[in-house]
Amino acid sequence: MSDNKTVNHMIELTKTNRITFGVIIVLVILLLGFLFLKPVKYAFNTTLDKEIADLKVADYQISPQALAQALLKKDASMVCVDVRSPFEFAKGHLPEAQNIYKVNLFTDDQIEFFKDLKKGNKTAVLYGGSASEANVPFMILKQMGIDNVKYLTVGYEVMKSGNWTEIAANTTQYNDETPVVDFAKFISDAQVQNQHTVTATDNAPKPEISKPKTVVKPATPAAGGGDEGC
Amino acid sequence: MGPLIPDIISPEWNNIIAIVLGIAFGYVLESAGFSSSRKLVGVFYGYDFAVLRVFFTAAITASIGLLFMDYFGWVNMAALDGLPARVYPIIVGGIIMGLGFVTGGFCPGTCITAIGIGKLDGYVFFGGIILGVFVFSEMFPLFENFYNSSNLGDVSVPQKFDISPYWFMVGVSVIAIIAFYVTLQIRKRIKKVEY
Amino acid sequence: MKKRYIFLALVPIVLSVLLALLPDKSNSIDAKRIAKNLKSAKYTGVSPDKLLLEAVNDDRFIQPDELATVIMGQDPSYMLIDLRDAGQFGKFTLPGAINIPSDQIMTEENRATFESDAYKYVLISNGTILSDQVWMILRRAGYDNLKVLNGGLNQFYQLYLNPPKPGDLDPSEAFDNYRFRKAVGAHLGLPNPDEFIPGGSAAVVAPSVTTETAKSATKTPAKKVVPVKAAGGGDEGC
Repeated sequence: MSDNKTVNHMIELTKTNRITFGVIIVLVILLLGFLFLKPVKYAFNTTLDKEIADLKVADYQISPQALAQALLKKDASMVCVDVRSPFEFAKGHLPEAQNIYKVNLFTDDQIEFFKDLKKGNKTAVLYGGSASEANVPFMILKQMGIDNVKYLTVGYEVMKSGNWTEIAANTTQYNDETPVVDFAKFISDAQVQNQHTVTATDNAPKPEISKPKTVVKPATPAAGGGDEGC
Repeated sequence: MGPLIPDIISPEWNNIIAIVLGIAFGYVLESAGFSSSRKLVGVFYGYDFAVLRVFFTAAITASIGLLFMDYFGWVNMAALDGLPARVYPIIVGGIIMGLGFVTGGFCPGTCITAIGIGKLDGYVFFGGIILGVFVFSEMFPLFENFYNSSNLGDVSVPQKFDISPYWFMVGVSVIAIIAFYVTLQIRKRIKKVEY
Repeated sequence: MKKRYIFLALVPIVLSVLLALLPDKSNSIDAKRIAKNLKSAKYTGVSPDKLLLEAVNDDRFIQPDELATVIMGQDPSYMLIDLRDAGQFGKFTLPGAINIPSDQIMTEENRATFESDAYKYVLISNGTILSDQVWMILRRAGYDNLKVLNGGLNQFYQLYLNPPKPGDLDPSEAFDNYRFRKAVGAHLGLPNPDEFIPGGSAAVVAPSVTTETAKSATKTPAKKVVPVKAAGGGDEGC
C-alpha cells in the first residue's frame, strides 16, 4: 500500500519536475532579455500635428538680413552651424561657424552640442549650400524635440561676400514659398497678347485655364488630365 | 514581427517553423491526455478540468511571454494582426461549437490527435467537420449579414476599455489561479468517473 | 498544497506584476501613437538616423523635366498632390493634381490617400522647402513612395514660362529641350508662337487652337485638331 503511494508520488513529482524545469528556463531567458536591453538613443519627440502646425511658423526661418544684423552686432546667442561637408567648409564659412556635416549628425554625440546650446539659451542657425540642404537636418532636429534651431532661407553663396551691412540692407524677400509670378494671370495675359497678334481663324471662346480636378481621390488621378476636349 | 523574425529568422523558415510547431502542439495535446473524449468533456460534467487548466495556462504563458518580448524589443506587438471582433456572431458560433463539443466529445484540434492515435470516433468527427463546413459555405448567403454585423474591428480588451494591458494581464492571471483552485475543489466533490 | 504548485501558481502573477511596474521604454512618441499603451523597447519604424540617411541623398526629388514627361504622358502611376491652400489651387495648378492643403494633411481621410502602394505621390508646392518638410513628416509617419518636386512650381514655371532660348552655338539637344519645354507650356495654356511646324502651310494651325484644345475642362468644336498626348512630343499639327 505504501509502495503504491510512493510510486504515485514519484510519478506526480516527475511530472511537476518537467514543468518547473520549463518555467525556470523561461525565467532565465527573461533575465537574459533584461540584460541585453539597449535603450534607443535617438527618437522623435514631437507629435505629428504639432509639426504640421509648425510648418507655417515663420520663427524657424531666418532671413539673410536678420542673420547679417546678428553678425554685425556680434550676437552671442546665435551660433552658426554649417551642415556642408568639411571640404566645402574649408573653402569658406561664416564666422565662428561649427561644421557638423549633415551625414554625421548622429555620430560622435553631435546632438549633445545642440543640447548644450539649449542650456545656454542659444540658437543654432543651420545653413548649407542651399536652403533645402539646411532644411534636412533642421527638420530632423526639430522633430527630435530640439527646437532652438533655425535655418537660413538662402544658401552660403548669398552670404559669401561677408559684407554684412550690405546684406542687411538688401530688401529682396527670400521666401521660397511665395510664387514667382501669379501663374494664372501670366497665362491669361500671354493668351490675350497672343490673340491680339494672331488673327484667329475661329471664334472659340476664351479658353479656361486647366480646371483643377476637385473630387478625384485615388480612383483616377492623372487620367483626369484631358479626357474631354476632343 | 520585429527583429527576431525578419532579422534573425528569415521569412523563408515560415513553413518549417509551422511544421515544427504543429508537431510540438500535437505532442503537448497528447501528453495532456486530450485524445480521450472522456477527459475532454470532463469540463462539462465537472469531474476533470484538464481542458480549462491547459488552455488557461497556455493563454497566460503566451500573452505574458509576448508582452515581455515586446518590452525587450524582440517582437513588434503593434504589427500583430488579430481577427476582427464581431460580437454577436462570435457568441452564436461559440454556442454551436460548445454543443458540438459536448455531443461529439472532441474539438477540431483534438479530433486530429484522436485520429493520430487511431480512434474511429476521431475519423467520424472529422467527417462531421467537413460536412459542417460544406453546409456552412452553401448556406452562407442566408446569414451573411449577420456574419458581418457588430464588427468592432481588431481591438483588444485593454484597448477597448482603455486600461493598461499589463494590469489586465495581472487580473487575468489572478482569475486563472482562482479558477484553478475552485475547479480543484469542485473536482473533489464530484463523483469520479472511470475513463 | 504542494510547494511546487504554489510556486508555479505565483510565477504568472509575479511576472505580470513585474511587467506592469517596469519603466516605460517606448521613448519615441511615435511608438506610443502606434502601439497604444504598450511599453515596447524598440520602435521598429522610421527612426531619426534612418530618416537622415534617406534624406541626405536626393532620390526623393523629381526634376521639373521629369514631371513634365509624366504630365504629358499622363502616366497613371503618379499622383500629383498640391500642398498649397485652396485659393491658390483654384487659380492655377498642374493638370491632374489634387489639392490637400499642407495643414490638413494629417486628417484621417487625407492620410488614407497615401496608403495605396500603386501610386507614386509627387508633393508639389510653390517652392521646394515646404514640400520637403511635408515629405519628412509623412515619411516619419511611415508613408513610402513619396517624391518632391525640386524647385516647386516656381522653378517649373521658370522653365516653361520662359525657357531660355538656346544660342546658335548650342548643341541640338538644347534645341530639343527648348522645343519640349515650349510644348509643355502650350499644354499648360501658354501660347506657343515658336511652334515648330515642319514646313507646308497646309499644316499650319492657328496657335490659339493648340492652346485651347489642350485644356482639360473645355469642349472645343469638333474641327479642331486633337493634340496627341503622347509622351514628350507635345502638340504637332496634323
